[in-house]
Amino acid sequence: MTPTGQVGVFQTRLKRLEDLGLVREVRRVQRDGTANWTATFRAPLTLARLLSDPLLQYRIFVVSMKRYRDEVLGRHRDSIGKEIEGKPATLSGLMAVSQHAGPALTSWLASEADRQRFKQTTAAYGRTTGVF
Amino acid sequence: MNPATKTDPLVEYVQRSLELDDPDEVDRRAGELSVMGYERTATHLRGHAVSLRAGRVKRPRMVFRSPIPEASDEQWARFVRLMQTGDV
Repeated sequence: MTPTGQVGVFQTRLKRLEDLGLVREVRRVQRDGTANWTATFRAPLTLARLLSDPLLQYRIFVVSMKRYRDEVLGRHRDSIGKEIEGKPATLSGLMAVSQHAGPALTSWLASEADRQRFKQTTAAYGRTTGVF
Repeated sequence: MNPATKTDPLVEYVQRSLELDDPDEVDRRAGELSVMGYERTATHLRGHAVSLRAGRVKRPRMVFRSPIPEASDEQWARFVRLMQTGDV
């Protein structure tokens, strides 16, 4: 788990795992003088089990992406086809932003400053937009 | 190096056949070689086909079925790869 609270091969955010009902009490804790994100996993899931099971991580990713797909098409359909960061926005690119930013997709779309600030998110968009 | 071997179409055909991962096609080519009288080579190719089939049983390929109506299986597989740590 990263200090920013991202887990596994798809770097799924703890907040997203909470949305999906897999963890609770997502919170920041002080550890060795730095703030780190943590959460309580809902049994029978544990952090160790999740990290040791790539197929489980993939299944969670699929559930998450299906929901993000519905949200993107429901709330941001008008952004599809617009040129963002020099590339036409497609469903895949906006789903990738959702994976990184969650509900902050809205501000990422609206704010060039946000797109500059959150470089990993913007890089994910750049790699994935146009796939579908 | 023997120039005759380098350009021998039969040798090249066999080499390319051994690079295939479709056991049915490898078997078909083995049959062709058998008809042409190259029985030992055909047997070698049939052995390759058997190995391919065994490998498929033991190591089924990961198929990424797309859960997104707008994405084909191939597009989804590409997206999944790009979303994995290290690629994005």
